[in-house]
Amino acid sequence: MDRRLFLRCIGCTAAVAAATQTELFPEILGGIQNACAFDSPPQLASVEARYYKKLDEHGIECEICPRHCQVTDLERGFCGTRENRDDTYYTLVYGLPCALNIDPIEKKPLFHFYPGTTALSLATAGCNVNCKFCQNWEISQSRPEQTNNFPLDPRDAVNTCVVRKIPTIAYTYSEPVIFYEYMYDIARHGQKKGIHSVMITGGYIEEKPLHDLLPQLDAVKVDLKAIREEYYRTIVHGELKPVLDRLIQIKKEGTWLEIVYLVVPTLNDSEAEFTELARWIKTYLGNDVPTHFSRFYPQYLLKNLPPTPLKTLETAYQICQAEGLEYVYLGNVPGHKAESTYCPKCGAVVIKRRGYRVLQTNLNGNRCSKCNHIIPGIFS
Amino acid sequence: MKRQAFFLGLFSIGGQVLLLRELIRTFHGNELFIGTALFGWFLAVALGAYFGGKTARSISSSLIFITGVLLLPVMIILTRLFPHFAGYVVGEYIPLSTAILISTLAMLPIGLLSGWLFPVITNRGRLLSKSVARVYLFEGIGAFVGGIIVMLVTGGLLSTLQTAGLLGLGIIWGLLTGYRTALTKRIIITLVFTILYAGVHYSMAQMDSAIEKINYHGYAIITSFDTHYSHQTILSRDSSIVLLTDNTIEAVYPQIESAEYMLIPPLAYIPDTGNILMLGGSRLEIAAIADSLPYLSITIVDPRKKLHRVIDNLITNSKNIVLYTDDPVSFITEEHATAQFDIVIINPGELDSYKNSRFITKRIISHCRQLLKPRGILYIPTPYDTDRYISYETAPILSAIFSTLQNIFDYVTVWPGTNSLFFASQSPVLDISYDSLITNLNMLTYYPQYVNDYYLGNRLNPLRIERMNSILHKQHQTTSFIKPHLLHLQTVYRAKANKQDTQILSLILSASYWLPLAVILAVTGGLLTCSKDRTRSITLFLYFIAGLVSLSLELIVFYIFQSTVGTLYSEIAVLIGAFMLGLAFGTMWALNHGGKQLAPVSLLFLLNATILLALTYHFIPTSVSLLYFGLFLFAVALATGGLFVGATNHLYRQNPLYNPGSGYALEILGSSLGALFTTTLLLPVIGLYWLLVIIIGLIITAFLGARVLER
Repeated sequence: MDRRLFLRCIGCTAAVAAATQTELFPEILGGIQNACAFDSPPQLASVEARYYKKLDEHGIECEICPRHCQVTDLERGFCGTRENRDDTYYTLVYGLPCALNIDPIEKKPLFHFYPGTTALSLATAGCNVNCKFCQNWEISQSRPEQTNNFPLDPRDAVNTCVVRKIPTIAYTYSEPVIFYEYMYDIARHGQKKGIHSVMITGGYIEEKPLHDLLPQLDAVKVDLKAIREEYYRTIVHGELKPVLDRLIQIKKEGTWLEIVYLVVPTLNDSEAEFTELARWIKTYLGNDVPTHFSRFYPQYLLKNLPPTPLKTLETAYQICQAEGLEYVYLGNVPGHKAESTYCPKCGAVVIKRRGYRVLQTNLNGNRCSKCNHIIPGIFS
Repeated sequence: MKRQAFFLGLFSIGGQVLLLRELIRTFHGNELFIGTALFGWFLAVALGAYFGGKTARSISSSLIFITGVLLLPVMIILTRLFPHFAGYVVGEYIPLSTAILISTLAMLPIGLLSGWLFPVITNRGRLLSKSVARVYLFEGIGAFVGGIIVMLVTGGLLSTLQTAGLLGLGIIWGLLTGYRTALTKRIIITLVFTILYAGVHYSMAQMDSAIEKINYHGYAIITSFDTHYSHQTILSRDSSIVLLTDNTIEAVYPQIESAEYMLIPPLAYIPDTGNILMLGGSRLEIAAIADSLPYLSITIVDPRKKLHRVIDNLITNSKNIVLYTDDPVSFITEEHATAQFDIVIINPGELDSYKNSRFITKRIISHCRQLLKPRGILYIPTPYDTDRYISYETAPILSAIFSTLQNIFDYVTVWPGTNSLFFASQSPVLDISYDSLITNLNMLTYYPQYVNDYYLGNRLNPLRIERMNSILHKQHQTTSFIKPHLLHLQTVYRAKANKQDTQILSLILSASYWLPLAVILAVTGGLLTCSKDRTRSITLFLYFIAGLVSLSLELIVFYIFQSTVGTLYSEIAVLIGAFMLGLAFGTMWALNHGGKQLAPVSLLFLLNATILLALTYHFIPTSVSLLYFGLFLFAVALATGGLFVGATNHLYRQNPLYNPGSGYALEILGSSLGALFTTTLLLPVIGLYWLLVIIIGLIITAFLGARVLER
């Protein structure tokens, strides 16, 4: 074989190979192709986003969260779900949830909001922070084209609840702020049909969008991830101050509020932090705001950090009670006394829970059936 | 010179193996990095040899040795502290891209010095050609002896750092006490070194402890030690005890939820269970509830006999737990195969290493079926979260596990939830209603806190079940010992947590990337073969094949050994040592006795050994595996040494002025490609059979080329 003949053979072989073999590793490549599909396929939504302004030069500035992303043409904000197209900002996840479940309201957790009922829980891809411990990282740290979405119009979401007799819709799992428009429209339709709306959020949102949204919502649960700015900067990749401001705003505007604090070993679990947290809540929100301490489980980037010991949670519980908070709960500790609600006046059990179940309710309306003390919340 | 060459072997194997252990530990037990680490090692050795050759007469070997033995513990410490220096918080996952980079870089300094020493020591001989062969031989002997020492002492007696200290002092002692040293002087030096070693031993233990305190700040370190199986760290915080294996959480005590999900779900199907066999880590966790189910007899198979009294006491307190010291795979594939259990539990953990993913192969699942009674259940709890959605990356993993189980069992069912639970049986025992499950759970003497009606109603609601079923039947690819792709699906899954990882994997797995590369390689090979100087081209091809085939076979042996025996952590030292010894003897033999047909004879020998491996590896009892694979690698290296000399004879006899580094460079290039692709990429994609067929094909091609040369 001479060199020319050899080159000809190689050329033919390569052409045949290229023509016949498009995927060398189909089973593995399938997953990675989905993960790498950064271009927008046609199935994404394109509804104009709210709360942005056009910049003097080309580009827009998103005003929905304190991140204030400045986005040039065909780029997206930090959340990966909002795109600038010719200086118009679009949400790509409107009507395209990637997670849909029917959960007990206690799973959110909301303990003072229609106990023992269920909620249609939905989420889209994307998030405006990047917590190292995120339980929902597979969707929250994805772009919408990287998740398995299905179309669900706001009216259909509400109708599902009506047909299935589900009293509440929960915007949860990822960060609802990034699908604000979708959440807003569902909540508005829901109100007309008597379906409640609750937002499960990190509270990293600007004042104006929250102000406009709150009248549509019945309750908000805020994940206050720490009481230290440094933690927010290094572990959450966000800021603490705006979250604290929004908590005060929610309380002031009268929407039902509950707080969850995820106790992450070594990172936000010191007694000093629990004390500071309790004092801040008492001072700025009042001692009747339900505060849940939930247990960290190894997730996402903190895959090898051990789960929170029960004793740490109990320490948090005791500190908050000693500081005067009236409704302190421990999450995912079935059988523990801190699962149930007690009347702060007479000490009677007003709502007895185990796991996601409400075993007993001793309330007359929103009053303790024993001493008539008002228990804050929305119960009936 | 011989003595120095021997210590070079000792230093080289020690450096390579101890650093590999540290990398496996730092990167959570993942063996994919062995390939990139070895690539870094070869690169460094080649560079060191090149620069060493240029400066051979100006630098003393003792100085390089001393630098090397001082640098080795430093490199181990740096590797171990890397997550801290790089700003990772306690328990944070290190992305694949970072691990690839670090595993390559970590090997460079020691590899460089090891390569440097070779020409420096060689230059001490009078006749260069003879001294090269002698250094090669004694380096091989040193590597083999070093391999055995490292395997015996590391884990069992000493920590990695202490072994590095022992190795360093041993080498310096050896260099100072020659044959001609007076007895009195030798005794004094030995005494001084013994005292020095006591100091080093103590200070290294302190160092081990100090590093753990830095890496796990906020936790009390109960103990930290190496076993032949892995590195163990036991931590405590707020009354909970954490057992870490290679920086990965193996178990937490007390952790009722994990304990219940490890033991209770199969009892919901057969509450009248008597015997349970548990494979994989978790002995600590189930100790929290085992006592409450006294009628169960739980056999736990674990290769680590004792961990620490804190943990061992917790387990021995549970009277119905029987601890059997053996590798789980050896246990189920050998003499115990006739035992009958009601439930076999496989707890593979994250499927991010061959050690873990080997449990979910058709071979092991079949063995488990044989251990079960007719109504028995195989139960596999996996850590994949399917509670709220099932991602594109999780789906193929779950589907592969499901298909593999379905291949062996008639009935398979899966519980979705924050951890996905697989059940398989030969009887319809799994086909029961939700109410029956709850009734069965209520019959237990222990009332579960988590596996009960309060939680299961939500976990097993129709929406979740429907979602799970929709993805399970999408793919039908099973995972097997021959084609183990679970580890790679897991790598893709974890890569999603890091953009660079996603991009790197996308690049590696993309057909459009490989096709042109394959064409370029073929064209280059073809051009070389069709060049006017055919002898030179074929000879260079033989060098390349020597490196590629030998290293590919070495890595295949590592994989088979790990998958069948499960303890590569220490034995890798003996396997590499046997390879080095074979290489040295092969070269020596070829130099002294090699005739004209050296290259074809060596290739024929290599071909026979490879075919023999392909035909016999699955019949080898685990008790003789180390001997079998050690001998195989020795044979492969023997042939490689012969082939190297054969090719050298051809190349330099006819072209005495030809670049002396070309042959060696091509061999290293072959080794590097073998290190990078064999088990990392090709094994899960084309499978072990085809990989061996390709290697046999390459050897035959090289054999034909060698025959052409001889004509």
